[in-house]
Amino acid sequence: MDFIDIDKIIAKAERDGADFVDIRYQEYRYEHLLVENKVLKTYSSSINRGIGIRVLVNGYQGFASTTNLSWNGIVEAIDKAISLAKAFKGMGVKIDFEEVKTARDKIIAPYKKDPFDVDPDTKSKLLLELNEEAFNIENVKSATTSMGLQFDRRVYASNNGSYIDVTVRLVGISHQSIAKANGRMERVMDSRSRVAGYEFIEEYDWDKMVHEISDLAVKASKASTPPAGSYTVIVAPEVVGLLLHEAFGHASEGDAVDAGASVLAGKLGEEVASKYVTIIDEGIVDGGYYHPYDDEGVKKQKTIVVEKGVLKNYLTSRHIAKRLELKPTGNGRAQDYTHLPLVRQTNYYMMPGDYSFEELLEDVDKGLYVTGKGATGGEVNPGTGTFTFSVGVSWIIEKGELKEVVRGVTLSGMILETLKQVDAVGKDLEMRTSVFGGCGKHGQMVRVGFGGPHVRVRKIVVGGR
Amino acid sequence: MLVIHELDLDKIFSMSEQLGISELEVVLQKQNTLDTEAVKDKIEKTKYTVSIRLGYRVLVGRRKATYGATISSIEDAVKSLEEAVKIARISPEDPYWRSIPRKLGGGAEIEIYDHETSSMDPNKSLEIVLESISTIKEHDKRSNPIAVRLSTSSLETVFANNYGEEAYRKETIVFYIVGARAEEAGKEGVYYEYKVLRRLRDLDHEGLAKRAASRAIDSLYAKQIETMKTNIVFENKIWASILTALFVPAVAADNVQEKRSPLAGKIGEQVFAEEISIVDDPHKPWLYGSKNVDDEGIRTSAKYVVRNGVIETYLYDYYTALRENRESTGNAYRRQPWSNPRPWPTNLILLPGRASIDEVIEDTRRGILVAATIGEWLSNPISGQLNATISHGYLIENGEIARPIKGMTISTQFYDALKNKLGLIAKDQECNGNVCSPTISLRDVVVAGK
Repeated sequence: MDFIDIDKIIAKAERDGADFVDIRYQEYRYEHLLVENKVLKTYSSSINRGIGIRVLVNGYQGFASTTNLSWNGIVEAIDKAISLAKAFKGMGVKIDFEEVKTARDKIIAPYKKDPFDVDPDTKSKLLLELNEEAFNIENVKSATTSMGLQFDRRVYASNNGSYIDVTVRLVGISHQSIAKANGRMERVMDSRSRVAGYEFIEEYDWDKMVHEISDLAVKASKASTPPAGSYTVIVAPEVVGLLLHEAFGHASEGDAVDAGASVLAGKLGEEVASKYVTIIDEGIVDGGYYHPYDDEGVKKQKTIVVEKGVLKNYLTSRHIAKRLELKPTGNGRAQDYTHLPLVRQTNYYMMPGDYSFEELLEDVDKGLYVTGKGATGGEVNPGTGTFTFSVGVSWIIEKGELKEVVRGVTLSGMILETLKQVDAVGKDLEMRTSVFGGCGKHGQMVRVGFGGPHVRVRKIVVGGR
Repeated sequence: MLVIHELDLDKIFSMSEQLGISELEVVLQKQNTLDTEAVKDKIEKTKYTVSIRLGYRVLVGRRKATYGATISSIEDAVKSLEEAVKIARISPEDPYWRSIPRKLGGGAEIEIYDHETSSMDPNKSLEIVLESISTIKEHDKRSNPIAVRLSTSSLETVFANNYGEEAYRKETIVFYIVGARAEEAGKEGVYYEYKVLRRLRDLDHEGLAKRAASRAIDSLYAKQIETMKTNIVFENKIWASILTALFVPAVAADNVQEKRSPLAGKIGEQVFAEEISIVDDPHKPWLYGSKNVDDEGIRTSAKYVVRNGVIETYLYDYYTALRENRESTGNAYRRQPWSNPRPWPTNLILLPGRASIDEVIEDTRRGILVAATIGEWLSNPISGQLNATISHGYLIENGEIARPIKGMTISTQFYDALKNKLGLIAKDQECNGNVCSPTISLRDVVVAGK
């Protein structure tokens, strides 16, 4: 980052009255290729660079960001940040940060082949071939295949001497097939992403993934929706990850707790789930996103959120740690240089137990097995714990066996009641992340990792016909 | 030539010839935003952001690339163009490609820029947030604020191409959200209200804060009820968000052409009940989706999408229009200046009916009034399956609102519901972003609960 003089920025801000200054410079490159029905429709590439400057003046916070990286542009941003902090006096409140150790570090997430050095032609050819593959199954009417490639370099510096430079490459392919049977259309989509270089794209068996998606889309288009009601449900790892992230993870974020917008407020040390449930937030996990430091220069620790059903910790940023009188857990994350950090999850997952998939099934007389292929996500009200999830292709379970395929399944409930209904946890663990999306909160999107084992929930509300 | 931030577009276009570019489209956007945020009853954050974003759509014959960057100088813009050409040259040909838009601008003058909003003073922004906080606190001793956020932006966008055409759009956007929490006897209720507008003077922040507080209080004692088939009244804003999830993608021409829409091949067909008419109207003053030109710089126009239940048109951008040898409907949308455009509504408006809200509720006799949902955006626009979970609702008994409920999941077929199960359409109207709807009722819908 030789073209921006960090010391000069800090010196100016201090001279203008800042007691605290931190600076986040970011260079974000993203490439997106999209093939629709055998035609490359989009080859899009972008570079987003900018700087965000946060100051405290007499304890009042001001923040400004700019894409204009000339010295004039930066000066304008410093002036704005300082003047906003000053305008606050008398109207806003003073804020304080929990002290953290000064850190100096440079980290590049492991990769072998830089995806941005690979010839565009190679990328588009692969994607076109995969898209063709989707039509090898009868009744597939439409197919969309895309590739996402990310380079994210974040430099954090502050006037307490911290300087942290982290670069993460993330690559992946996603696919959707739409099938039509008996006049009815259904879609199934899935994707795989990994913190890696282009070698992941070269090594993964994408043909198999696309083939399976097409096959499921055809099955789903012929399937019916199960009757609405309460069921025993076995939840596949990617859905466990999603559900946990949305319905529990957000409630464990310290800022929600502080704002009184979390069902977990005041419940530290209390039982919030069945004894089979242990939940972790961890910065670096195989298959997940890569998050060694947060956007406040705090090293991410492995945080045990729930241990055997008991709530042990909230996730915090420096400011929220101070407010809640806890330690910073390294979860102060911002979408980019234009935003102030919020408390966010990193890689959030449930620890595996000791059941095999067959053992989980064995005990179910009548229920559902739900997976994430074709799932579109979920939403939760962390204040009440109400959640709803649209899951993917599912199977009816009868007397311990998977029977007919069903579609259009939504799960809903109150998270604390649902987690208490977990009566068995599988021994498998699968982590995922995605280069195509992430988690949204207060208008900010960040990359996350999520996952877990197969889990059995005794009773959950299923929306259906 | 128009200049934003001293960027000379002429230089870019003269360079494009040297680089062997056959067609070049430039989208240049400058945005200034002021954001103020309170958590509980305290304001902790204000921020100011400036960004200049540049997007290119570059053609070398039928080989295409889009490229974009945030820029600080003309050098950044030049470098980006060189990168864009590199990709375009080796991209496979798009057999459907015909041209970038040949005629830009010339649209009607639409009121979407407000000077007061654009030149917002940070102190004024702080005041509005503080007033919202005190409104919630004063409303009832059980209610307290969770969060308030006010964001005001001004945007200037230039669209230009190497055919010498250009268009310009200047607009302001106000985003406001307020959350309230109620507590009593160990029970809790939470409710959020939000609004996207074009100008500050249309923001009734006290009204929204009051409503958030009273709905949070209502939900204190909300209960889940049994699974049943019943009549449902959807409040205007909720139905607008359901239209966004299920209907909007289905009328976008790209989805129709790529066989992802259940409305493909249905122009001229009766798909909804006769009472349903839907327009796409970019010319309503001060609505969020209003615009003089779309995101390709093409003039916008108002049209019926559905008239008396019959589908009249899909929505087209230039590319999808040329694929069918017709004119763009002025519905190009770009998420970023460097995104490939795609068709999307301007203001999609389900036209109001004649009933009052009271009449709709009375007519329902027994059922549920839906005031807030979560997950309605997870509904499936390809199959038309509507799914939503009621986070705030009221049971209707004997044609009157009886008591609050929550945690029920609605599942129904959207097209079947609007054709065969339509109850009444009210005369009110509320927008959720760029989609506006009156309150409507449906009969015999399955709702899963206990």
